[in-house]
Amino acid sequence: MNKKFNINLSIKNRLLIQLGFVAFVISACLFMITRLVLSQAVTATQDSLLTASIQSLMDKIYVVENTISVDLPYDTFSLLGSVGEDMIFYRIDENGVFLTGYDDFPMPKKFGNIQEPAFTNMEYLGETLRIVAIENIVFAMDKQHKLRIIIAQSQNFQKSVANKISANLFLITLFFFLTAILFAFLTANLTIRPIARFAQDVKMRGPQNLRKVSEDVPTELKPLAQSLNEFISRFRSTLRQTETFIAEAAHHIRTPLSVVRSESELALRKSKTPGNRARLRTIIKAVDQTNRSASQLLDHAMVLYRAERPEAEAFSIQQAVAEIINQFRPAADLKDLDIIFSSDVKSIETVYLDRTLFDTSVRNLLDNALKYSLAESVVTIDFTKTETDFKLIIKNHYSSAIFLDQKQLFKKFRRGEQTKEIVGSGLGLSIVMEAVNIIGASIDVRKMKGDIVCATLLVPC
Amino acid sequence: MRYLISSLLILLHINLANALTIEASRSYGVDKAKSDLKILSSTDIDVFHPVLSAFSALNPTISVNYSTASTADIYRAVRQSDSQFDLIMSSAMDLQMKLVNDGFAESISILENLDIPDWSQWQNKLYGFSLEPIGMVVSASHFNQGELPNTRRKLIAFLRANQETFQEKIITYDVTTSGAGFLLATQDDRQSNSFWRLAEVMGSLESHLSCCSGQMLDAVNNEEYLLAYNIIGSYAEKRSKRQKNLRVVYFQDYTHMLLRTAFVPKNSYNAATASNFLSFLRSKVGQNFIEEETGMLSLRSNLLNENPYYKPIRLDTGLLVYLDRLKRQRFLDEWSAALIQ
Repeated sequence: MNKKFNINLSIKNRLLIQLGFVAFVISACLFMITRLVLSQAVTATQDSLLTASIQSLMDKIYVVENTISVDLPYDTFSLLGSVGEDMIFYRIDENGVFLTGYDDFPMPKKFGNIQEPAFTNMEYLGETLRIVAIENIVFAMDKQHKLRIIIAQSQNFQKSVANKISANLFLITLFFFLTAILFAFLTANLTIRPIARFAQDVKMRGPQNLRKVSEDVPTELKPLAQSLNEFISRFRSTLRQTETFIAEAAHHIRTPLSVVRSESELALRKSKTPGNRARLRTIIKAVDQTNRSASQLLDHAMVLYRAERPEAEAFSIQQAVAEIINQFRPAADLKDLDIIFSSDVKSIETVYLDRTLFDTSVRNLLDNALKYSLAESVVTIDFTKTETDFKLIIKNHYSSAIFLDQKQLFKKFRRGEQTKEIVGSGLGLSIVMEAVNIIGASIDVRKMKGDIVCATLLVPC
Repeated sequence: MRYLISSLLILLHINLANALTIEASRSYGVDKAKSDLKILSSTDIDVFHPVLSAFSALNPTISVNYSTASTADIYRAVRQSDSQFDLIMSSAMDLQMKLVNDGFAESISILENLDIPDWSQWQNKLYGFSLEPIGMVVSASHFNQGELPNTRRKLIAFLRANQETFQEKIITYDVTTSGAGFLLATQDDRQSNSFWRLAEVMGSLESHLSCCSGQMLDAVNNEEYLLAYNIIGSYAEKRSKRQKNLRVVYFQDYTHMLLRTAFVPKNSYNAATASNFLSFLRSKVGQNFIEEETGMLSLRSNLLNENPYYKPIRLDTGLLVYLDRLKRQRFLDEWSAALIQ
């Protein structure tokens, strides 16, 4: 199975990982290179010591009675072995024949001269030895003696110095790496800051905020900001056009509709055949529904328009509620509904918010309450003030409230399944919801015992 | 009898299979038939006995077998790897250093005593455990306290002034047969030019050459000889308590300090036990025992700090040079020319 791992990393984390990786690679290279250079320096030191030793040994080669004799310099050997407690081996051959030293010590392939000795590494008795080798001609009684001299030293001193240096070097590299990581962190933060600011700016945009985003962004983001702003302004104008169009349309429909309704009523009055009368009543009902939908579309358009530009004002909330209730009394009378309104809120209590939106919310709630109430029942409206909110509770006996689907309740053009006989568009509660959100209030509609529907509107003080 | 009944003393016992001459041998600990730790040493049993007894008492589960041989025999035995020992102790620093340098020693870790100076060990292989000042022993009855020469230069002048008295009355190591004698003479050669003048004087006085310090001390005590040069101090001082005619003189131009050293050979069966023993020797308890019971000096002896003329022979690869075939021959030729006239 070919599973693709999709690791979603933030730009900051990507930057941190990349910079961290680079810092690690550079630190590792620095460590290796410095170590290499230092170990070369230590080897060079050992080579110098060996060169000096072999030169001092050369000085101690004598010709005694036509034979070669060597007087090994005590201090040189002492020095070679005491620095790092290193093992010392040596061998001197004369004309290819072993003269003195370690006869089983293997001779290297390369020999230098006293000015430029040859150096090699060799394994002997389980130790890696550094070997200096020279070939030198000595004359004795006009006879040529070819001497091959080697001195071998183990590498304890080199190892101990390298270990000490490595330990220090490791700490230095670690410090360098941590500093680099710190800078990587700072760099990532600095780089990401304008992007984060831009993202925050974009995040704040929504239905309630369609202002342009700031164009004070890094060059790379400028095209994006500009495109976004163009998009926002186009979106805004499209939105406005749509709303205007809907409002215009609704308005234009309502006027001819009232003509159709009044003409139909006139025709109904004059009509004598029961078939025609029934048809005319259906027409009048359809016209009523269309009229109502048009009004609500207008309401909706208005709410959307206000959403962008709420016009807050101070007004007496008690008076506002009372006025709306009074407007609905004639309609209630038609259905023989009794509106019982009780309020403990004083009329001098004011709120500061968009009154049109508030009125629309209350009106739609009341409209719904009346519309779905059983005939000859009671609609109870209770308006109180709590510590934080004004609380408007509207209770009515629901004609068909078998159950309320909370998910569907506030959706546009969605209506309950038992509401088909009742004139309505399904926009009412969604208009309430939007208006309530804009003014910072909250709405809750739920069914209670005894087929009662209770709508609670909370408006903050 | 001073020694335990179970102790075994074999004089001049020749192990034919190994060609190693064991001079003496003794076992310590509960199970003497089966020893856990086999030590081959050049230090006499009666000198080292207190230390071995103390170690045995502290470690009752370890049985110790201590054998002595000459430094040259020890060197040969290790080099040929034909005898199996767990610890090699010798006063011939140069031979010990050569064996270790040539890869015959095991690297061991021992419990380090912080008081012990760093120069007393080499490469975690060769460990010093006691110091021996090298001096001159004279027959007390023939010297007044005031006329004892305390430098080599004064000794040369003194011998020249009293040629008749000292004719054939000086004894010293035969460096051709004695490893310790060779080491001491070569260190003299390295240290000072007056050694060769002294050698010339000793040669002109027909000095006698001997293999062993014991013989030389007996001869001086008997007044057979009046002066013995290059004698290990601890032997002489221990003897001087019994042999009242012996007086030990340490020269103030320089007095060499010999370091007795030990290492664990590669073919050891009991390297861990050997390390334990070595740790004990270098511990505070061990060092105190060495100083108080054997007459040898502890490694942290105050003498070194108090008297600048006490010079420890450095434990490093410089010791190898006089073992070089050509250099050794050259030295022996010079020495013979000076001493055997």
